Amino acid sequence: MSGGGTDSPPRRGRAALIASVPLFCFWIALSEKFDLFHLGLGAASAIAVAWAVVPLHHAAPTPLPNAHFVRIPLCLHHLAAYAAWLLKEIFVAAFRVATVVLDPRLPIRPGTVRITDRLPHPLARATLAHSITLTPGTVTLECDETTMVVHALNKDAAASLAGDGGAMAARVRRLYARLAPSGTSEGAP
Amino acid sequence: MIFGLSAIEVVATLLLAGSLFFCLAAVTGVLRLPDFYTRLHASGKCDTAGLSLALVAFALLAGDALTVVKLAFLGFFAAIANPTATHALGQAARRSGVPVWTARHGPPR
Repeated sequence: MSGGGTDSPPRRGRAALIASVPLFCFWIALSEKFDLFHLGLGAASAIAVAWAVVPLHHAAPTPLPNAHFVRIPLCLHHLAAYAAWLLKEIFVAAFRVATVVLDPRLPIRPGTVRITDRLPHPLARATLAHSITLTPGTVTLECDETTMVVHALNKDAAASLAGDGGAMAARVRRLYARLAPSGTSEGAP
Repeated sequence: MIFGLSAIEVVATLLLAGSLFFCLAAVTGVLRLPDFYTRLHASGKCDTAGLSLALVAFALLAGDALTVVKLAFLGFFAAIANPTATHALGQAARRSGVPVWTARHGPPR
């Protein structure tokens, strides 16, 4: 379901040109070189990357309305809190995987778990899938509109996702509760 | 001053040691774990932690602000790219029918 319709080459070119401006600024900031060679290289790669990426904006199941981007600053503190929590989880995850791996008995009981999530927005589902992959003993293998298939390294890891994704899904749901544009929610959480 | 190192250098060294621990754990995991999926856990997670610790250590030693900003961008992009790559590899493996190893396949090698 492509809300933006198919991109005609001129439209895609214009969109790519607009998208390449911040990329080019980013290039200048990182390179700190102002000669023609480096600026030209930056401009060329910025346009090439933007051209390649523009169709992806329309490939999302529900194209994000522009209002969405205006709303994000309102919940920056939620985002910061979530990012901090996630960062902590990443280190807990790495430490747990490390202890399992370095244990001479190699105590693993791997398997796959299927979870049904009821997150309202594709971006929320992507965030959850991403977060699951980052945290203790779980990697998201498959993620579509209704279910996720997760590979778990042991029983504890599998149990942490019990009940529609467990605590993490609840956090992601809270993070996106204010963000979700009305009318796209599928079923109450 | 400890062993001729300033306080910042001591902290950076400790962070690098932590980073080394996670990178070593990642390598050990990839070598010891029994199948593709379990190895994904080792490479995907311990790498992210190891890299971010190393980046913080580099930022402490960097000295100029722009380098710190560049390192922060590196950390941000790695935090996005690493799990995405892990997920892409896992999904590709699942779709091409790589079997999931379970305990009944016998003890891990």
